[in-house]
Amino acid sequence: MTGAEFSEILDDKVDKAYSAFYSPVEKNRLIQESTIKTIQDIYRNLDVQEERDKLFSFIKTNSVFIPVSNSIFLTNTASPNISDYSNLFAVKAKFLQKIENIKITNASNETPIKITVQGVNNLRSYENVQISNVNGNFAANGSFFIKIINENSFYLYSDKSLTIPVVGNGDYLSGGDVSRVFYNFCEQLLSDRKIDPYSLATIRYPRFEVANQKLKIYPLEDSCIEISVDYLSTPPYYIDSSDSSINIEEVYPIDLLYDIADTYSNLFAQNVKDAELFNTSFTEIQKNKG
Amino acid sequence: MTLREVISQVIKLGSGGVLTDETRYDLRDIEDRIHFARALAIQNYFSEKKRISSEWIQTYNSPFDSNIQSGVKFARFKAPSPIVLDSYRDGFVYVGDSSNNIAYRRVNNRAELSNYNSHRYTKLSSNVPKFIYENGYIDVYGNSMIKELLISGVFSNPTSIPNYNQDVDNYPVSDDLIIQIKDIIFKTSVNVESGRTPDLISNSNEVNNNK
Repeated sequence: MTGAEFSEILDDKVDKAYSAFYSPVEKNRLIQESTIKTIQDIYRNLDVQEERDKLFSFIKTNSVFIPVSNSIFLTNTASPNISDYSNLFAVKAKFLQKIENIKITNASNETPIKITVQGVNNLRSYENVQISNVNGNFAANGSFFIKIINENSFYLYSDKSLTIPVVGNGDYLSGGDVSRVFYNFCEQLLSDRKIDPYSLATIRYPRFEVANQKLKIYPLEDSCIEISVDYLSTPPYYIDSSDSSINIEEVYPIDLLYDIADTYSNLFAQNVKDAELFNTSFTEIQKNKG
Repeated sequence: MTLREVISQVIKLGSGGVLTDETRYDLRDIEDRIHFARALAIQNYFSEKKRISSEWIQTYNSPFDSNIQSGVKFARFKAPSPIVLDSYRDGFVYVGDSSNNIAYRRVNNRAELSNYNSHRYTKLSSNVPKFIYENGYIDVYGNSMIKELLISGVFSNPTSIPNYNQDVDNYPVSDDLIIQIKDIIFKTSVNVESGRTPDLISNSNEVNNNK
């Protein structure tokens, strides 16, 4: 279905005789308003799979962004930003914490690289760690998954299932720090709850706040290196009533289009003060909600 | 079951079986309540059966730290706080040599230690080092050259043990105690809180809907 064909459906709903009331520009504006209201209405009642199916083009999950100073803009005003942001579902934040009481004493030049550490630690197999400042065997620097050998040594792998070993590229000379990667979901931080000591964020229990046009990740004093966001996006484009080439069903499922059409006729009825059309379209909208 | 899984189960008791990032409960708050409830459940179990389960015990080697030493006649080691079992016993199960076969003798206070060192019999006959636990430290008397101390016990905050990984390791509690922990938390707090409507409007104006 193209925008022009959708426009004919709209004309049928409001009675074609009235369609000349609107210019194409005004019609597109009303279509845009109807689209936004319909999507927001479905979002507010997003409790069944059927409703989620209508928004499959707009729901984005596991979208990765790199914040700056633990913040990311939610508008296009500056970078970094989530340019198509509409509503937030969930956000996960990644932090690094250096394990202070251990230090690396060797990084073997073999496959996989065997890291030897000194000090009591609580590392476990399959954990994600970041190794830095290793001199000599530079392949040992980076983000890896580990396989514990004993309490003081472990192997490095590139994947979580420990099937891709990391290859050494030189003899170990000196240095090396191990940091643990924390990648946990955030709870929301509201202003009137900041007084509660338990509302203080930690890297294990991070929090987010939507303020100052940004998504902010707490704790601010620890550097958040990555976020993964589930959110409702704005439509990639709004329906153009005069377009005859783009298949709008690739973005808007057919049942969503009919919901938009019902909202359009309801808004149209409000504008032209047609009570009968308003009641009819309102009933259709309520039926659609199930 | 990891600590986060226990937290999730507790929160779901008060939220109809669903945990979301909009839960009214702070995860850190629930974590602290779980530690408290665990200590209480263990205390109740011990008072009834006079034994502790091996599933509650954590063991680690506390290394010698020259920065915290404050005397030449004893060696000081950091130690987490043990739970209180009853009027006479706390959660320490073993404090001693890292080979795990020489347990040091516990003395409860410095007066008792002084008596040991003064008594004509004990000051000569006993070669076993003694230790005192105070303010988060274990002071070992009788051998100031110790470089490592093996500590085994039931601790009030399991996450404070250096070799415990709270994201991966099972929370040190037996299955029957999990039920009691959830029961304690639910009856003492979650049940009360879930019956009251939370103030979800973030306008710094308290709204009391509980009429």
